[in-house]
Amino acid sequence: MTFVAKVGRAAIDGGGNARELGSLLLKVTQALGRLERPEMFRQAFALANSSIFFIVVIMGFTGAILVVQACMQGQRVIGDLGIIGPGFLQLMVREFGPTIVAFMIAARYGAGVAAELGAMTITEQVDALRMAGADPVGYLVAPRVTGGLMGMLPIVVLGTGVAFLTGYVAAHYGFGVGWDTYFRMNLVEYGDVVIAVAKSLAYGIAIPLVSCRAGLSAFGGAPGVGKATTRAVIGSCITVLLLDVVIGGIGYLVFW
Amino acid sequence: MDERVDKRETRAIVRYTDVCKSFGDLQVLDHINLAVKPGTVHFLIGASGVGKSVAIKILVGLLGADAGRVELDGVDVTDFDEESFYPIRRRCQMIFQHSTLFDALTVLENVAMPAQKRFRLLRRQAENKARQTLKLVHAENLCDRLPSTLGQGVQKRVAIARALALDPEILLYDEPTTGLDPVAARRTDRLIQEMAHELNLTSLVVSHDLASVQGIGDWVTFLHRGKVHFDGLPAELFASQDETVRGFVHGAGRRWAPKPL
Repeated sequence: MTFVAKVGRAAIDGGGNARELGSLLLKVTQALGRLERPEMFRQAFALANSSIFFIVVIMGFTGAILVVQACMQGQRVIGDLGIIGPGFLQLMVREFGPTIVAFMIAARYGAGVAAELGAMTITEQVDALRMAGADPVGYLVAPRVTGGLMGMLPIVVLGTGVAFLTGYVAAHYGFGVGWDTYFRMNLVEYGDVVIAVAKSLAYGIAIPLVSCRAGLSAFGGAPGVGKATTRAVIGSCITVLLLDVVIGGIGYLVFW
Repeated sequence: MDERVDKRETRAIVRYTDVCKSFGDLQVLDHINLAVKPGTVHFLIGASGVGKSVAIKILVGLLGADAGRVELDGVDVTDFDEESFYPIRRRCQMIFQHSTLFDALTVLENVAMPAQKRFRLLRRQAENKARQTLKLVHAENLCDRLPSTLGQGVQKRVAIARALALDPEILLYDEPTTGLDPVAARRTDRLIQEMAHELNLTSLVVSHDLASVQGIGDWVTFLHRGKVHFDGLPAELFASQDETVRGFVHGAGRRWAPKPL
């Protein structure tokens, strides 16, 4: 297969995947009226509360490392670290906070969802649900998508806050940046917050949706569950990046 | 002739006409023709991977046929969408190879939940119905147990109860005795027969277990390489001189297969 043919095949597959995801999202919206609310809260808890330690550790280190690198470059190039705090906060709010947290949620929660639903599919539990008159989309997918929608924003706020705080610790103890200098929010504008919220909500829908689809399309025994999990994480990460570009682009057009 | 009723002349409640199904390049079902008579225990046998389970899943819309027609009581269900299959699944219930009980629910909840959803019952009403159904399969004392604490044979009985709670006319069994010890397997056979006779159910049973075919089968269809290779009474199967049928029957169960006539 030539390079062009491979690109064409990938584009066709991508289009097919997008269409199926759109169709699944439509079914989820149709199932909202008969949503299992306790399950929705359980899923929001699984996404957000159960990820707190993981998010805090990763975002804590990420914030510190990014600020150390920024301070080193700032000292070398402009010799003034006064912009580090506000600039880092703007970068985290608008871009890195939602996106890095979304990658981690895809790895932790998305993989778990795909493995759980994949195992249910392989062992015919999903078919049993259909035979029992329960719609798998309403019973399994809708609570995860709505739970994701609920849980994503708080965990993004937490992750962004932790990264900003550990950035301060690194800037203060490593480069002597003071509290007043670092904690300024003058670069963060209304548009940045809107974009961050929009991204968080979009990721909160996309990650469970992609992961549920991967799980429900699992086949081929235990290796099939493994492949579904891999598809869920890779698919979620790619979807997050695409949404990042689209929402960032729209935000740029609207607010600047 | 076997004393079980030969229902060759009766109209079929389930009919497959030239049904084909492929997965990628692999053709699993190749122009299958099959008729299931009402009230019979009809076995679908064949080697692993020959498409027996695929065939019964097509009937209830869990898989789609690539070609051909599947009819239930004269109604062509081949091109039904998911929603159109809801009433079909009310009439046909399936007992899966793995019991597929929901791990987090008790036995009573497992049986009550589908009935509650299907008939829009109050929880108490659904549980009463579930208790009655569990009694039918002699599992009424297991209401509060979790599926993980039950043996495989008992799990199958609970799965049968869950299907019965929906008042079906046709029960589809996907390898009901696989993984069971011989005692539990024969107990499951008796249960299938009891349900068929007492509740006047039609049973379509996918199985490798020739002891079950001989013990409770009214009719048997043997699939080989995606096609129907034999369709007749169990006694005729075991007496068949056909090399492929003899290979399957003798290879799988020489001890209890009668000698050819």
